[in-house]
Formats: sequence, structure tokens, C-alpha cells
Amino acid sequence: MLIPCPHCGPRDVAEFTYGGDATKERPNPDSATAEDWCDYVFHRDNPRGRHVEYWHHGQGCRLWLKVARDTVTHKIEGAEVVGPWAAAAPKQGRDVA
Amino acid sequence: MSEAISPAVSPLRGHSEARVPAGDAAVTLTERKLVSLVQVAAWPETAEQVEGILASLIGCAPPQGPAGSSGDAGGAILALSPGRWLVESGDPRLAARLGEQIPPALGAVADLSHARIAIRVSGPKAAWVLAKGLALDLHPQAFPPMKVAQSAVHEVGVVVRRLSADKLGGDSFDLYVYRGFALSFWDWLTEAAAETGYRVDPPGSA
Repeated sequence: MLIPCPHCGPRDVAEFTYGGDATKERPNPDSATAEDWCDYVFHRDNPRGRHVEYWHHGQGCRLWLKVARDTVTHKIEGAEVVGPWAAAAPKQGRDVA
Repeated sequence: MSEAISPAVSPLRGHSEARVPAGDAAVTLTERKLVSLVQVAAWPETAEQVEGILASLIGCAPPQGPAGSSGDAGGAILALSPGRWLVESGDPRLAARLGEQIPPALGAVADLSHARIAIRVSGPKAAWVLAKGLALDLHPQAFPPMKVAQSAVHEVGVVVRRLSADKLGGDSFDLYVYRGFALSFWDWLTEAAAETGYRVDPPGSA
């Protein structure tokens, strides 16, 4: 599987570390209930098809990416840099497969 | 007990000495002498300013585009990722000079001079040999001269830079490898180059 890193270009998946589900949003600590936290910490969908995940390019540019991947075909729609360098990096990495 | 090796002594001593094969040699391997190698990392707000400082201190243009590089053997800037550069120079005081000009408010300066070794791989089959362990598209269109990639060979981190072909007459790459993995990497490299045949030039001659 090749992940299209927006900074480095397509790279082997072995250079990345999986960072979990990127669809979960951290609840607001001022208003969140115990159920909200339980959902945020423990509950994950296991979608068949399109999914959005965090991947860390640890053996390349060391940026965190949000990658849209199909869990059935492993086809990757695209990847974008997240975090403090999101604005500095090229916008989108596209799938080459 | 293992013997302590001074940072001034190459971990490749006894391995990277000049060697001329009896048959063909489509690849030339040379251990380069690293005087100063420094990693500089800026904050997102200070990246542009730090890049300017590096360029004026090394005396070359800033690297063009993402994963580009600039400069030559006298001093080079390699862009590893947004706001992070590897700077090489023949000036033994490079890290101190950078530290003076880049305080923590602008970025972080880490002296890697004794933490990496540098190997030059050149010759008509250089890309062929590297492709055996490097999962990168090394075609000149995808990875043109002056382009830089931080990647790995068998999980060992490697920074690769393609040099401009015209100056050296043929394909040429500079590799920066963790010092602790130097011997293991050299073993891999010479084994990968066994097929095409390789010559080893004296350390420090490239």
C-alpha cells in the first residue's frame, strides 16, 4: 500500500505508523458528559468502505496526515497534512495507484 | 567488552578503504568526510526567517520547493520537511554559529556531525543498486538532481540526495545514515552492489 504523502510523494506504508480514527472529535471538557467521553475514548465504527484515519510519516517528513482510505479495496482517495504545519505543506497528496 | 570508538574515527574503518575489483565496476562507493552536519527545526511562524538565516550563513539560495536542496560540497541545505533542514558544511563551528543566530524563539539547532555518516554512491548503476532497498521512485523525472528524500532501507533511516549529474559525470547520490547503523548499512550496500560490481574510492575523496 502506498500512502500519498503531500510533502514526500507516494511512500510505502512501512514508513508510516497508524494513528487511529480521524473522524472522532475531542469533546469540549466544559460541557461534555461521561457518555460523551466514553464515546470519544472507546467507541469506534468499523466501516466497510470509506474511512478517514490518522497516519504519522515517522520515517519521512514526520508530519501527521489525515488519509481517506477505502477499507475494502485499500484505495486511497487522498491525504492531507494536519497539525501546526497544515498551512505550510502542499494541500493534497493524490493516489497514484 | 566492546571497544569505545572516538567520534573522530569512522565506524567504517577497515571496511570503506579503497578497493578496485578485478572485473566490472558500474558503481563507485565513497565514504565522505563529514565535518559539520546540523539539523535545524523552526516553528511554523519562523520558518521563512530561519530559512533566510541558513541561506545567508551557508552562502547559497534556499532550497527550491518541498524536499529540495541547494548548495554544494562547501555548504548545503537539505529541506527534509516544512520547517526542518539538514545543513552540511566544511566549517567545524557550524553548529555554534547556527546556535548564535537561531535562539529557541526561532527554532532548534541539533548538531548531528558525529551522529551520521555520509556515503556517496555514483556511477551508471547507482540508482539500480539503491532501488534494491529504497522504496522510492528514483527515475530522474520523479527524483531529479538536488531532490532530497528522507526514507529508510530495511527500516534503517536514510536521507538521500541526488546530485547534479553534469558536475560529476554520471548519476550520483549522497546518503546520510545513522552512525550506529553504518556498518550494517555498508554491508547491505556492498551486497546490493555485488551484482553490478563496485569500486571503493578512498574515504574523504568525494
